[in-house]
Amino acid sequence: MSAPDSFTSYVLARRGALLRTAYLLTGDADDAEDLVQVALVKASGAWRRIEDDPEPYVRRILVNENVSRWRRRRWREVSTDRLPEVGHDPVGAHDQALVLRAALQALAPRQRAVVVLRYFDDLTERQTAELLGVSVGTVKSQARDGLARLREALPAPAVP
Amino acid sequence: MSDDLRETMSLLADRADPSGPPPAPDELWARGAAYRRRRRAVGAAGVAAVLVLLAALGGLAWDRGRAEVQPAGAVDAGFGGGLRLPDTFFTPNDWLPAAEAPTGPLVATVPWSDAGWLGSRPGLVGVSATGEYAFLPLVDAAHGDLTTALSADGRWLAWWTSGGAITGAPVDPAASGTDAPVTGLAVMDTTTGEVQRREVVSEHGLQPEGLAWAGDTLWWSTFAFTDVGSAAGSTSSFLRAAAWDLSNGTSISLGVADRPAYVPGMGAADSGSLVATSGRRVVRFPGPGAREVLRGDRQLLGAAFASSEGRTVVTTAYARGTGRFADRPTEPVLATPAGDGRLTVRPLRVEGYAPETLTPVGWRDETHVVLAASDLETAFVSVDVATGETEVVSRAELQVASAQVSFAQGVWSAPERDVVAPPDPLDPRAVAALGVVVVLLGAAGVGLWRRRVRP
Repeated sequence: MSAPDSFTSYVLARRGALLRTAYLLTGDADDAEDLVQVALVKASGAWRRIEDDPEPYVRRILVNENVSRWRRRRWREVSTDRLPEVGHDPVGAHDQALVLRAALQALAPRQRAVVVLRYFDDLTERQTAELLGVSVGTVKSQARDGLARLREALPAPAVP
Repeated sequence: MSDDLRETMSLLADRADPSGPPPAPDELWARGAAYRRRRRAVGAAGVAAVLVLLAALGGLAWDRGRAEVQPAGAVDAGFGGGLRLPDTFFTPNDWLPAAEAPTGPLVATVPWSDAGWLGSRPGLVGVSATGEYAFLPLVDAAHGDLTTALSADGRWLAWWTSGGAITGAPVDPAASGTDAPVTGLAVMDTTTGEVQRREVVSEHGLQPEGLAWAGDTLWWSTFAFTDVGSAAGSTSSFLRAAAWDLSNGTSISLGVADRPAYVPGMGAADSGSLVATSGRRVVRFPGPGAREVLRGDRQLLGAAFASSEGRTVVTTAYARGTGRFADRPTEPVLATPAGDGRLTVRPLRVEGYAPETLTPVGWRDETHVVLAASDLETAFVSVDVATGETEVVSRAELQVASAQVSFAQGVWSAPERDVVAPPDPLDPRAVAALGVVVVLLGAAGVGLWRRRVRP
């Protein structure tokens, strides 16, 4: 069974970007790859309907699927407000990225999605709200609180 | 937006490097198609399972609720001769149907709760000569007083009614125990469904005393409330007793002096006369205006049944002893005239049964009395009054004494008949609720699977 050209083109063009977003959402490369595959597989079922502009639909699946997975897994994970200890002083960019990953993972999945969509994918507050199915006000407050928590974890001036 | 944060995020996102090669778009597309097929299959299976469960539930409800009340024409011709003694009297179901056609002669009636979707109300189940059970449409029955009387041949059913005229303020329901003042009585011909009514005018309402059949004649007597009363009590005085002959429609009002005494013990003889117990006496009413009082040496209670030749009466007596009668056990007794207005009262003992569990219900023939032996269920025991030999002629699933079951007296002398259990419908509310639960659980199960299944 071969995919339509538009699906093939979309996957080839956007897979990398989706994978980067998924990595920020999951914090794990393999999980990110799995998440992207699931989103694309699910999107294929609605392809005729979303063919003209599949990106919002795929991203919505990406975010919702990540939240669902978090809900399924959290019973076996221990939640904590404290970020994991960093082995040494975060001085380099590499270390800063690792700290950011840990800080993002400490956020609730929807709040993490708000931060990633707003400050990595550059979506507007309205686009983020529509994608997540929440109000603009919720996006604003979630972004503000998320940034505040990242600010506590990351050395200035990484976080505005 | 901070460029620093975006930059750091971008650096972090660069680490998104999966261990294996990404699947080709065609492979993703094929997985998507397979995923959709599985979802459709599981969805269809879930719907099918729900439909099967609903069908099973509906089938069970239908099977248990099957009820066919046979019309009067299906009953053997002839009235008294059409009765049959069922081998078992079954416990009625709250959700039995109402009899829409004339039931034909009834062998018994059972006061029973008539359930509806919004609640229950007192009802009366009729057991037809053909063994069907159905709630009887008692027009204007006085709710709260479902005292009924069934004629010996099962043709006539009498009950007290409300809704008629009174000349003053209605009695307080808390005092009367009925929803509305009792204002008369009605008789239904079970072979045609025709109902005849008699209104009894009173100021505040009636306080019925008794109903009893002697042949086609209904004997009734009633008190009337003399004030509207309250929950604390009320006053009443005797109003009237009458004999209403349904065969020709005539009604003879009895004088106060002739009123049946202690009517709760009224019973009827096949000869058409009325028999009642009153204290230590057995009172006979051969006809309106006539009365014969026989006195015995035992305190009697409950219904009295005269044998077909009319001389011997079977009834219940308190055991001999001291102290209050209410504290003493009871036993069935035979009362026979001994001359000089006296009664000879002798206990009727049945081997294997405690006397206090036995209640007379009628005569099978001139020498056999039928007693109801009540435990959790009831066995109807025929006793030869001369030899004491016994035979169980029928059974009932319920305690007929406490359930206030009324019998057509002719049923005890009727041929026996094997009957099948009546419909035992499930509570349709429970069926509906179960159906909703099945649908919801099915939908939830399919929904959960669809959410959790991995493409």
